[in-house]
Amino acid sequence: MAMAQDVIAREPARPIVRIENVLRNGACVVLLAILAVLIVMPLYALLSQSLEDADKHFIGLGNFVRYADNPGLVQSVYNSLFVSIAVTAITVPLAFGYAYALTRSCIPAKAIFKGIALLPILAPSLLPAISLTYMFGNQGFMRGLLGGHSIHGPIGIIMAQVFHCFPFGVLIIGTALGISDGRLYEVAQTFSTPKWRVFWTITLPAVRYGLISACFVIFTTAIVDFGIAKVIGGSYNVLAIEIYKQIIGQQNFQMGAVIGVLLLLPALLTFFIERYVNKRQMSQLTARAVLYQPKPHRLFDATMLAFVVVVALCILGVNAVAVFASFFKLWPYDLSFSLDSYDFAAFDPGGWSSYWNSIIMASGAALFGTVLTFGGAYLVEKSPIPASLRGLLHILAMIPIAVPGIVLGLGYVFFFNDPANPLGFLYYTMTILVMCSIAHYYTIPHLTALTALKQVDKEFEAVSQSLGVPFWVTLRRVTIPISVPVILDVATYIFVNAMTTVAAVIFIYSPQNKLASIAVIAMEDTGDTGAACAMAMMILYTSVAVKVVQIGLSKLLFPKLQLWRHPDAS
Amino acid sequence: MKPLDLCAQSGGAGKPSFLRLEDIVKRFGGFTALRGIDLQVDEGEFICFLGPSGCGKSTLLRIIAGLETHTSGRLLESGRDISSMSAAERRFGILFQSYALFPNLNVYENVVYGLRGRKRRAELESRAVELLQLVDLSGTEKKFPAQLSGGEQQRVALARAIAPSPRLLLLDEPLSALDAKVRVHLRRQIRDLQRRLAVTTIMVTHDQEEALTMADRVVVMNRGTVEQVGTPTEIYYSPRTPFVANFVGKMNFMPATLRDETKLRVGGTGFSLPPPRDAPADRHTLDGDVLACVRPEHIRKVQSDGLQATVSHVEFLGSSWRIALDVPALAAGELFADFAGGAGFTPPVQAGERILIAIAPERIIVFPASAGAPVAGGASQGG
Repeated sequence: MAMAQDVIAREPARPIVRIENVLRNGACVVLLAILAVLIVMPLYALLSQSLEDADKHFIGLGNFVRYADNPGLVQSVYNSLFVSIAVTAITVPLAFGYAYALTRSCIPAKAIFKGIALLPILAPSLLPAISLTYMFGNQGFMRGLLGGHSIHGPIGIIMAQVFHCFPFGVLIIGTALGISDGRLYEVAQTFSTPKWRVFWTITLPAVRYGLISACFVIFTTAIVDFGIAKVIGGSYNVLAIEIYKQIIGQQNFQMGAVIGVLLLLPALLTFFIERYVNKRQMSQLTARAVLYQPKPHRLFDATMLAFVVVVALCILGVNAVAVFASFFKLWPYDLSFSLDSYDFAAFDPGGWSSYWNSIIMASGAALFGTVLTFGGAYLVEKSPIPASLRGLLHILAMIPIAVPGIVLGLGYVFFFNDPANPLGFLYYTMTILVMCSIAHYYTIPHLTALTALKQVDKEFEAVSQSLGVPFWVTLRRVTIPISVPVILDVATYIFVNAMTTVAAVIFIYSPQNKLASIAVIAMEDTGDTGAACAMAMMILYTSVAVKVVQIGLSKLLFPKLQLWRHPDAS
Repeated sequence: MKPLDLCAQSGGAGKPSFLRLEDIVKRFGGFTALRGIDLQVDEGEFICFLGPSGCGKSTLLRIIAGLETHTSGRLLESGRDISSMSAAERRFGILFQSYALFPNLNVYENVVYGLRGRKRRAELESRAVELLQLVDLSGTEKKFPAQLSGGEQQRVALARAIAPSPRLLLLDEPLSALDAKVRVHLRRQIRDLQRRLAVTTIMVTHDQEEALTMADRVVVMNRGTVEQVGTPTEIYYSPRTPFVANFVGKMNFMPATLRDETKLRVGGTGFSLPPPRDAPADRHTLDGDVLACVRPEHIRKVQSDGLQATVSHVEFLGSSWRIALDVPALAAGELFADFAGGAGFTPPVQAGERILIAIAPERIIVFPASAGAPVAGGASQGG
């Protein structure tokens, strides 16, 4: 009978199933081990360092007590809080107005304005700081506007932070405004409710979670930032600078660890509030909601346009100053065109090699980071691995978002610089820079890949199993091909962020593999502001180019390769 | 067709049945999804798992497929325990409600997905042609799933599922996502194909019409247990529990008392039931308070010699009229009767009209009152 033949034909299936399980569980264990080295061990090293004295004896909270007794150190806490609160108070209303204009008015060229708002994400956070120094610094052409105050100090930090944090605010609040249910407004219209009442009773309640989320994200971004304060802070002490001083200046590792732990607190708090808020916000948009479509309203649209144009001009202006500063001898005093600023070797021993190091580092982080995050998300979402492993993988992937770059970098110092660590040979290599960048930016790519994979029919795996096709065939032939856009997205995200980061790598770079963002700080330190601008602009140009390539690939190339997405086109 | 067993357990004499489920239990944490399922499936049979959502029918199907692992019990295929085998080792064909076609592969690549590496290219191509002919989709090889209608996609998925000649085909609500017309058409196509290939098939559905029209035997499930196993006509005419009576088709429930196994009293009216056909031993224990059930189509309008009834509501169903009746002599609240519509545009009776009705005693089904009456009309779907 046919049945008997089938049974015989089926026997070889058994080893394949075993190989599948071994491979899946093996991959899971390997990934867990990698994440342990990348994330858990450095953080553990940091925490234990903060509870030990210089001779590695456990002293409980002794370091924290010493910290609280030092008025200089405590002052840096107040300074950090003051700066971050001010940044939040200024940025959130600005971002709300901008996002409101983009989602609720009929202003023209929304895509361009949105692009301008997000531009600062592609630049290193240092860029606005350098531009502001250039404009308002001791030789700045706009110094008079500050009325005698120095830009080096809280004013500069706050101004630069506002530029740096603005895009995050626009993104978060814009999302919240974008998912409001249009039917509520139609109902309000049928009752001829006054506009201000609609705003108070419908608009604000709908975006309150977005606003809370934006406040916390901006506050945390501001309080943990290192680069801006380093460039423009002058002698004004904030926590991130204090870590740097304790470690680099005084070699006081314990005190550096204590400040690192303190900086973990706001980030952790933000992480949990974000999670809570996200759950609430998502539940607002039911499947039956109708998206709000703004209607033209001349006066309102004109006001909104004016506001958006002013903000956009400020953002462009700050970037333009850096461009001009890099291309002219001494803009705006000496307008002779010159590429001298791009001759980095004249200002910094690293020269152009810093830039290429950054490219290598960002490419490595993008390549391996994409493989790790996508692979991890695949294991979490699509594999029948034990629930405990799945949960552990997910939690480890979520940790980095709550760890500021400077804290992670410090953890890397403690962990890899420990003579007892067999992985110590990695210290001061390009590899450790790649590792730290991947770890620092792990969470968002993981979540992005997870979301994309969740949208892939979960029965694909079931079908493949029942057809006797091993999982790697379906991964290669189906799952990866249909995930190409999200893979590109993830790779771009990691690349751009790795290019711009300062905080995560400031402690672990070596003179041989100095990075572009570090060179910016160094050249700024020595007063070569034009060259610092040029290097910062190189980072921005590169990020913009990579982003453009990514958009081009997904928009132009893939419709051809992936005919199946657009059935009507064929 | 072979005579079908009235109950699931009785096919065991001689040859082992094709698939045998023994006391299958499935728990998800503290929740018990399946409470000891026993079932036998014969070779070539078309079985439907029918039940409301959450009754465990899909879980049971996934356990048979090897996509879920049962907590306890045994799963035997031709006498061999396959409990610990993975889905890949069992290689049963599966069809999902979502089709689960690979969107980036064309129809040909989808259909031969499970055959690759096991056959030469020429063999693959001829097999694909044959399969697509079978599902009536010749010539669509180069198309992508998104270019096909829902019904066509499901047929491609069907071709893919039967491509490796599985001995068991599992269909998980395969028609639920389709339009009503396409559904009826595909229902028949699947049934014809199943007969032609003589492949043993289990289908999960919550649609009683689907189950009644397609299945050789229907397994009615509720809350993780099997309520009844039987042919569609048995399920419809001889439901063994009030749940089945209420879930399949429309049923009137009337509180009643029974004496001497045959003397039924509903309200003020006596019926003399014929001796029981099946399970004769059961009827004794029924004496006392019972639930008497009758289908709407078994309540007839008569000219004389009937029970007084007042029409309270008239509803047009298309091929017939559903009449809500108040029958004081049965003291059962509202009863529903289905009257043929004939060719007329006017209902056979008007609301408020007084008529005479009759119920044939042999059409009355009796359950012990302790079985509990389902909420009238609650889960029934009128078909």
